[in-house]
Amino acid sequence: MMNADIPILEIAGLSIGYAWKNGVKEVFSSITARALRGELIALMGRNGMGKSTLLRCITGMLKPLKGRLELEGKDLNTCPRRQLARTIGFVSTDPVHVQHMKVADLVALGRFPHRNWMGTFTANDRQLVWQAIESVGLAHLANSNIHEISDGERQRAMIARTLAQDTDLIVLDEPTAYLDLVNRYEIIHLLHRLARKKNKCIIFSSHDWHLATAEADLIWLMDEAGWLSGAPEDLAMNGSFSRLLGSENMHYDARTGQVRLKREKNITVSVEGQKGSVFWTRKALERSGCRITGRDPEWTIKVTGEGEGRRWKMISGGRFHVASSLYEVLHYLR
Amino acid sequence: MKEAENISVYSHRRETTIAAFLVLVCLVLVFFAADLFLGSVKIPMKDIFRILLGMPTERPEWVDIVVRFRLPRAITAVLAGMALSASGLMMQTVFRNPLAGPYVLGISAGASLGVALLVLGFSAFLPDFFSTSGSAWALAIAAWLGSALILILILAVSVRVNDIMTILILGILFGSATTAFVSILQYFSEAATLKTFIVWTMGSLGSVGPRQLGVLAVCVAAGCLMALFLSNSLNVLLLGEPYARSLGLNIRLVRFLVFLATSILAGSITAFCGPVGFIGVAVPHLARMIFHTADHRILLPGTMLAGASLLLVSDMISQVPGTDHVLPVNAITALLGIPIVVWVIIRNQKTGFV
Repeated sequence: MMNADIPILEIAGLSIGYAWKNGVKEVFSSITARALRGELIALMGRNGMGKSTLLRCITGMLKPLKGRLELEGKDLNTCPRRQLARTIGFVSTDPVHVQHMKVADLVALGRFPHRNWMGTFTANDRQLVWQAIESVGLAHLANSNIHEISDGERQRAMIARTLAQDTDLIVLDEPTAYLDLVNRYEIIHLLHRLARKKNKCIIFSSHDWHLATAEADLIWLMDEAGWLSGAPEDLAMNGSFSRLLGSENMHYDARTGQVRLKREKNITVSVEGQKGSVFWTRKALERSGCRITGRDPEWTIKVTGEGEGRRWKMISGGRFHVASSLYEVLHYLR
Repeated sequence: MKEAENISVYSHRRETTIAAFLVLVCLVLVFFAADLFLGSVKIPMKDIFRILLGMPTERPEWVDIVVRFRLPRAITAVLAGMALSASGLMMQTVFRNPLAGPYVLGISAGASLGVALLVLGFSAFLPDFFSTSGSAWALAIAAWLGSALILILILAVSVRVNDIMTILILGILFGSATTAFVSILQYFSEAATLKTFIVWTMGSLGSVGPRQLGVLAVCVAAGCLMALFLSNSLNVLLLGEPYARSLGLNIRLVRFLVFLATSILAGSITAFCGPVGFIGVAVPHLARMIFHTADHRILLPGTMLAGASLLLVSDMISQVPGTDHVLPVNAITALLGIPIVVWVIIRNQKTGFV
């Protein structure tokens, strides 16, 4: 691996925000981070923390207020336009709608910074464009119009465009924003694979906490308390996620790694029965705010039977009820 | 590697594209010949070809009609069609708006200001001026200066302002302010001079003499070459400015050059022919429909050819075959162009362009 230990991007003491003639508005400060080739990095933080602003700084579209931003050891903001375009690929949240543009046309635009002023398209360009289309799995749609394919496929095409751009660093601003669950997983998984296989550094911002912690090598967290960086598990252990995901109405359970809505009902329940049935019954009860306990429960629920014949026998003092679904159980407790 | 060759990058099918170009070239040639043939004096097709080849004909006055009137008029139609539709295409791409045209920057308003100042403002001092042969030149120069004024304003804005929508809005506002000024001039002018001005606003392909034609041809050639030179950058601009910038495009420079090319093209046509509407808005959509591509390296030449043919047809219609009447060409281009624009709007409700 070439330059394996030299970071592609190094950020030190960076302040981001917007400057006008008569003042500055600092959005976030004291960012220090490094990004290596082969890594998938998730940038996380609540709305308004400055994720997009930071990504705009990293891609050279916005000048930082202060601090150092180095691309392969050189100051990013003095880097010539074309050189920058050959090193950083960018996918923004702006949807691209152009009539009569084919997927291959879109991907081919990625070759723009590598072409001379005549814009001659060489066999090598053609080859790279095709490889890019193939590696995001769009070979069968190469000649389709980009406004006729699905949002997920269009996002893949945008990623293929950055692959054709042949940059070591790829930055994506909320690449999963408009996508359904399966497509979100597919896209992030694709990014993970590309980072590893093509030895690229890929930075993406996301609100999808579950997805980011499952796939990213490194999480950059923009938090009220400041800048944090580490493996997902590092941040889970030191309590950072509790702050990111905590609010009046929800909390992050550091023990299970789950996010829960806070619902106070203070009904104590004990559950008995087969292992599989008990697991989902407890999950449902916890979700609706009941507390699972073994001692002196208000309600005891026994799960019997299997499949269609499964029944929940609910006992509380003199009251007795048999439910045929969890929905009915929760409805009865409500 | 095999598959890589199968996807032609900018993936229009090569054969259909070439066929479409051939058809368009043939159409331009046919319409050009037809435009020479139609007119109040009947001249047989055979004699028109003889005149064009410099051979003697039955009647010497036919030579005069063809060489001094019909030929410059047809060539003007070709040049104007090319220039207006190419600049319309560039504006639609730069503003990412399917209804943009060559005049969104306020070029025609600027030109009309120049002409209004000349015709309405100074005619009192030069009573017989508009019957002299110098009037065509004077009108052209006045229109040129007027559109140059607006152009300089727009360019000054475009190098300082980043947001393209701001530029569009400012262009419209400059245009409206200019139009308001022109209406004040109109209000205080006399009926005879007012008519000269109104006739200019209706557009005419017939007022370009052989000498002015040379100037016009040079301007249009320069503008078209600039446009073709910019076609790769225009392709990148289709994605919108954040993406264009991330691909290393110098947006302000490209925008400056596009505006300059548009002004040279639309400005010089407006100077010599008056404002000719709707060709610039409608023809790029026709070209997209014919070529099924967004690639400006195909679309620009395609648009130029389609524009030339459409304006030749408009010119033929405006001469009302079989009569002595000549209708204002602006009315014909509007009547031909508006259905196309209406169709674009209705269709875009479904696909959501831009």
